[in-house]
Amino acid sequence: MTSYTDIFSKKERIEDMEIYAGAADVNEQLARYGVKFGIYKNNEFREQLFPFDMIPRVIDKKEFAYLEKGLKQRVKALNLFIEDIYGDKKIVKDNVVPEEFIYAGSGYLPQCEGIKPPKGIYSHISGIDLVQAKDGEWYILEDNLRIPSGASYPMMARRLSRRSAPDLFAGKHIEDNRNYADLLRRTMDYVNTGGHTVILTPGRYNAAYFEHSYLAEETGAHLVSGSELIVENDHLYFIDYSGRKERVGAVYRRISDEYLDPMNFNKESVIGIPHIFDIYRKGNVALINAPGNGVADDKGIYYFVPKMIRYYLDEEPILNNAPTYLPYYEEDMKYVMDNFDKLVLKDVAEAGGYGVVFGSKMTEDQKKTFKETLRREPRRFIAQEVIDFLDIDIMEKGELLPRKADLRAFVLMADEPMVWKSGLTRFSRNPDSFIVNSSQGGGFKDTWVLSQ
Amino acid sequence: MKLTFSDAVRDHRFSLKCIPHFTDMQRIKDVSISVYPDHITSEDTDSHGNITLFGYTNEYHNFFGFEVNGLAVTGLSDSEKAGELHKVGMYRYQTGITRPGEGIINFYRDIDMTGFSNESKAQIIMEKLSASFKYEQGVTGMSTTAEQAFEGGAGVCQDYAHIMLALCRMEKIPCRYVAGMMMGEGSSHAWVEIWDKNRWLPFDPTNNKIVGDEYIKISCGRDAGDCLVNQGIFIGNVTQTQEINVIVEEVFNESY
Repeated sequence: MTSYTDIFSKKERIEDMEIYAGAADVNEQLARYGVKFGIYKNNEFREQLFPFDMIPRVIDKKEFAYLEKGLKQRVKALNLFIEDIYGDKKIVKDNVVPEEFIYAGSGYLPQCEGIKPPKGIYSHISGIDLVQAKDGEWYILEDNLRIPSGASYPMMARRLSRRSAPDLFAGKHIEDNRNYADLLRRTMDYVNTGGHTVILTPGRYNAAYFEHSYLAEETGAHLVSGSELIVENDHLYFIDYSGRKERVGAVYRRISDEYLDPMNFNKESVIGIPHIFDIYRKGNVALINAPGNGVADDKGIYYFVPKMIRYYLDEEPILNNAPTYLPYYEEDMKYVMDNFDKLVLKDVAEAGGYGVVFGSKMTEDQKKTFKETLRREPRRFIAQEVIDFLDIDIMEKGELLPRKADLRAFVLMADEPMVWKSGLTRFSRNPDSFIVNSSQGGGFKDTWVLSQ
Repeated sequence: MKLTFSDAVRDHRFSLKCIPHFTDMQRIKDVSISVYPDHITSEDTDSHGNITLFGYTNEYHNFFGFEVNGLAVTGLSDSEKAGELHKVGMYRYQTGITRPGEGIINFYRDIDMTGFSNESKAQIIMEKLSASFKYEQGVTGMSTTAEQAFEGGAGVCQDYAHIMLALCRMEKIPCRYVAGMMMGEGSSHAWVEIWDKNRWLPFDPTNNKIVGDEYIKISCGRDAGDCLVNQGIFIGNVTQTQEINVIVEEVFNESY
């Protein structure tokens, strides 16, 4: 187990404190650069700043090497799982994953049956959420294989911090995290079927619009909206301002599967590109990430990921899941009922920190109702042991305060899996909360990976 | 098929599933297709094995349509080969259209099928359904669900098929919706295929009979939504009317 306090001496820390206090407020600059995320609340769109805390999360070299190995292993297995589900379905045949966890969930898309994406890659960019417990052990909380966002925030924060507080970095051996754009470019180029690479955004009213434009700028890809792309003669074209058509070979699409193509998914979609899915099926364009990945990252499937690692790779999982129970299994249901108060229950259909309840925080009436729902719809929930998170310090009004935090690690898949030597550390600003999601008012930190 | 728009439309994108494909039961020959107005089309096969034509027409037009001609050699087999059970899982779960409500659940409760094979169960379901649901045009629409149709007590081939799919899926039998044609002149037809021991067996609940050589299959899927003959989007504020004319004539020729 390591933390900032373990790695740097008191003298160093006091020096850093002075820097934090004396540095121009990076938050102010983040605001000026438009580092924001949007949120819909009561049907109204609002842009919020994502509060940044200057004290980094620090992960030492050896520890990160361990995380890296575990993350690569996990993402490899998840890719094999998606390929298998839309192909031979051996894992179903061998009864490792029950069929209904695939077909009755919302992540499985029948339209993707039988499709082999360019180079066989489904999850090009994976955002894997981890937490560290008080005993130093890391646990995987969630896999995000659809459109994981958040890499741009630490990239931007690192850049601004280096500028406003260069002394903070002096003499410290930190992996440079500004190479994310290079990793992303390599990932997109690897699957490109010939032509331009574009980043497709639903527009400025999307929660992560800042990120779309920033990543486009940093990777040199065109930032486009659906109306600038058109399918003709089995290929995808970008229409530039003069009306000229240029072939597109890779689309890093930041719009969800259901809105991607009104001819194949949600017919009401006006931000999608008609027939893009048809030519993707023919292998004429790469979609990053592949449609249909939701089959591998819902909370119900999460339970099976360690089994997938054993099944596909014949290896023991390096990184563990948080201890999870599946009430679908009789034995687990009994455990959940008997130990209700010490568990956290998650609705598999919800995301973004919603649909998460702690057994201990319910009233007797709520417990009764919840248990009834659970018995009626056992497949709808998973239950987990509450992990005692390792607090990390944040600075508020010149004071150090302990807060819960998680880490979103980014794994990019090109000719080999690559783990970005940084990550998005999100913390809860509320001292009593475990929920760190930005949509629920959390903040973020830079993540320093030490190079020595 | 012909669509007539009340005013001109443009930037029309379409996907057509109107060409019967080769199966163990039928062979398709000498297919010709014309789509109008001028257009550019591509061809592909969807995840259910259906031939899909897709394309677009950019200029203004008041009509859109297509005509398909060809010869089908039928009666080659009484079933299609199917994948093993673990490969047809997607056909075993209800969709938004087939999901049963109280009416179908009560009906299902009264059918005793314990101990029978999938084939016999489908036969029982078809007979029960045929006896309690009435054929009537104009009382249901394209988006009517199995439950809505069942509660109304009457409907057309699409409704028969959806209700039968709902019942078979409650019994955990993989089954799929089939869009096709029957001997004669008129509109298209729909029926179901149920999975039994690695075969797809076709049943026509509307006519309460096993599908024979007077049927031509065009497409199949989880429900009618996967088998839309024509779907499209275009720019224009119009109302549209659709006409479909299907002619199936018998040609005797042993050499086919």
